[in-house]
Amino acid sequence: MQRRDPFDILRQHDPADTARIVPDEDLLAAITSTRPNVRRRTSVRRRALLIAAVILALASIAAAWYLTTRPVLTLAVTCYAELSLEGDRHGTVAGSGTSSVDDCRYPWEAEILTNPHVEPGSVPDLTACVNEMNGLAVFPTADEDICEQLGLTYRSPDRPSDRLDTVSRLQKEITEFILLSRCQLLDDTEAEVTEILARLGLDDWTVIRRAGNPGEPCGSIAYNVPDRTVIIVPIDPPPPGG
Amino acid sequence: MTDRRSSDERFTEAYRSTYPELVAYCRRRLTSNRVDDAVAEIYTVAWSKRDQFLAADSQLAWLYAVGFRVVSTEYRRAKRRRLLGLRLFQEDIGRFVQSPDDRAVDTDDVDRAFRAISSLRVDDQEIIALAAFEGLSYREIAEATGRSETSARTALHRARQRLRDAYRQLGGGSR
Repeated sequence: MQRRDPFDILRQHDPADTARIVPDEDLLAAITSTRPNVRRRTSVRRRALLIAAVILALASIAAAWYLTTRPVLTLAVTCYAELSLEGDRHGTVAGSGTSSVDDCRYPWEAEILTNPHVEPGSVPDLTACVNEMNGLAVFPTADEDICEQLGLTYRSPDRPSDRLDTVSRLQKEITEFILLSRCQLLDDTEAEVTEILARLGLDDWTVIRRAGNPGEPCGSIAYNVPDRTVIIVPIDPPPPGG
Repeated sequence: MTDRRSSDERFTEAYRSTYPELVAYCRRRLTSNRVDDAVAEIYTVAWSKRDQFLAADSQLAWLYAVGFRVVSTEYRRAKRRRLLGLRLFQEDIGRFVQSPDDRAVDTDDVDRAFRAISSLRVDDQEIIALAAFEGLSYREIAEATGRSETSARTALHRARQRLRDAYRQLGGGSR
């Protein structure tokens, strides 16, 4: 009797033949003709949309905090290039990293942020503070006093928060989905958000779709965390080539 | 030694060297009308994050990680619209006739093997395909699926077990 492992059978019967696949030079030219500054502007635009939505949500969170004195979730992260609230900065959304400074490692590694005292591409010591919008402000220093000097509150890098982790995961997964395509259609966005909520066990959350017009087929996202709501906001498609 | 070439040059070289494998990856998972778009989408992500892409231990595994998200989105979209948007190997059932290996393997077994993999969960299909078709090592599978190497090893082991179970239920596994 001969027994064959189906894995071995599959390995011997690859359904795709790579032998006759030649690199598409037109595609390469199209992709690489998109200059980094153009990409970055587009990326910044998209991030700005997301961050603006998050800031709107934060405003409602802050209001809820005053009314209920419940702890406020930290969602927006601003990474600063210098020990100042002025100058270059990079905005992002809190990820699911265990440290509150993790989300600012990438802009330093990618040289989006630079500082004459920091070797290009390397990540300096980082310190996180909480700003007046209850977002994180992260500075390139190991000195915790920077928060007080700038009128902010120090935030421990390893402060845990299960709730923050879940909401951050929700935002991270939705952000990843939105950034997958230049324009995520509204139906697809709603279905994806619903699926992510179910997967993360956020059964008490709801999805609301704002009214749009036919010229706004793409979905952007806003959050109302106190009301446990994800809001789908119709937007214009990004410009061609972006 | 530091590579002093520009990132554009290194991206071009990486693109040309990975292109056939990435197209094959997409062909194994998507219907033919979706392959070109998926490939373009994956390389656009690679270009926009080329510092990460070029620094990856395995550039192919990095592309596959992006590719799986693209494919998963396609799959969910197709499922919602009840379209046959994703191959999930179903089109490959019955495609194989008299390859050299068919002397040792009955074509019914090949059909059964493809039907078995197409009956598994998508993440099981993906990890089996990465090992069987893309030929990735455990370390590369870990990179492509965002797991630790140990977790990738365990996940592949369990997926293969489920593949064997499905294969047996379809009447395969002994002669």
